[in-house]
Amino acid sequence: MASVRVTGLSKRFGDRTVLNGLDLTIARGEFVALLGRSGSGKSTLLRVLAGLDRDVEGGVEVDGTVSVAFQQPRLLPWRRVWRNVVLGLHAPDADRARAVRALDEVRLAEHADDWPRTLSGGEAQRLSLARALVREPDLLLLDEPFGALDALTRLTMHRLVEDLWRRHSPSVLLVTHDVDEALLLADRVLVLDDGRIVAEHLLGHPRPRRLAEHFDIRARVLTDLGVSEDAFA
Amino acid sequence: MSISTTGVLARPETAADPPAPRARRRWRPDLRRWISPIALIAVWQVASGTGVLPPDKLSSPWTVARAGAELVSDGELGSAFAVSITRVGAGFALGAVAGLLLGIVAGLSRWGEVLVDPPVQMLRTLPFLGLIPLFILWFGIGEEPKIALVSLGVAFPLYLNTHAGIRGVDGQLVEATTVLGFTRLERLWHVVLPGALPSVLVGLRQSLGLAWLALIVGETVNADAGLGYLINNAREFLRTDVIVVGLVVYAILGLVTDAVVRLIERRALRWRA
Repeated sequence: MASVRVTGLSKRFGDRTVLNGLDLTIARGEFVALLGRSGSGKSTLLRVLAGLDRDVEGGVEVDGTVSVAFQQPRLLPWRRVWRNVVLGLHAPDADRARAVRALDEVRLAEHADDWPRTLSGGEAQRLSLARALVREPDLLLLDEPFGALDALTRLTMHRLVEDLWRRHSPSVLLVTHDVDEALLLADRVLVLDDGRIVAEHLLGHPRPRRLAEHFDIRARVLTDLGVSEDAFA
Repeated sequence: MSISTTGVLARPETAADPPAPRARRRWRPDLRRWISPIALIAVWQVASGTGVLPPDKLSSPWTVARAGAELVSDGELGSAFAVSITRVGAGFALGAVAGLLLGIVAGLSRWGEVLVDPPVQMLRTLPFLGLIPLFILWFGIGEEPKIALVSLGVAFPLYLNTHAGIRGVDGQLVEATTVLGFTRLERLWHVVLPGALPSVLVGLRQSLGLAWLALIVGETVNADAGLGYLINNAREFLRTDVIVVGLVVYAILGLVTDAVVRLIERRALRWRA
């Protein structure tokens, strides 16, 4: 069975149509990247899948638990790091040992008793990932989670996400506007434009990937996004 | 997965060490700061001793200290203190409950805001100390007008800061915990109220400052017991020493309550330090 099955999804804000009869299926354990220009409806789709926006038309089926990592880590500053990790768990599971195990996976175990304020941007984002994954989600939604990080930290995070995905094997929908990030991580790259999916590219390349392997697809994806590579020539 | 790459790349990020846990701040008094206050008191004492400052204008520090000791030993200060503290306590309790409740209602619900905020904002513009004549007409000259005055002084800052604090809570945090499965009540308890707490504590400090002010004004205008009565009574007999003792007690009370709020802030807002 599919992890996500969306059929004919439409979303309007007033008289502006953001999603326009969108169809999307994500298989169990599949890593899908969703690319699109700003305003293409990426984040709206993610919010619908997260259950944050239920005022939509069309069919939305999401199987199992959903976790989200947002662009901002959205930690509760008045909870210690480990308590932030287990926010989404219920009483008997929400213990420190469980939190420390999850923190260990993102190499933050030694910060378990710190306040979130003391973490760097990359550490806070890793904590946000740990909080999303500790619930063992069937679907992990990533909303440009690396967008606010510096370039070096972002590369580290790519490796980490790939590693965590292989270990926990949730289905992943990564919303991003970074083409290279999508090509590096995903099994399948979708391009969203005007509220529907206008292109799809399968990536069979073995992991871990290096970017050079994908230059042919990269050009095609950029064309799908309306960016012509010789536009500035 | 190339471990070595990861290790190298991880360094720039982890190199930015989080600030080391702050060394426990020991309160080390700077004795030099005592020089000028002590000098001022010495000047005061000399001025009184040489007759430059007549005792019917201001008694000498030494006389004030003796009067203080006397008032303590005959129990007069103690009972006046108890009366005043009771007034502030009762007024504060009433005002705090009203301010917090209204602030929470206006902060949490649109309808609450629409209904509660306009009248409160209108009343807020009234100088509440100017209400004393009305309060005397309404409540007489017993304890009620004084308690009511303190309550008013307490309620407004707490209302304003609670309301603003709740409205200022980061909606993104509320959304994030919604995805994590928090119920409405859990979001209120774990996200909204802790998020509003810093603002509420600011309101608490302003409230306590106004509570003392309201008490002093209320007690000075009319009272037959309490610190204000002690001071007013002393005025009739030109006892400037007793007046100063009363003022010093007010000052100490203000300092103590402020210190208590600071302590609460330090404990409750450790995460911000």
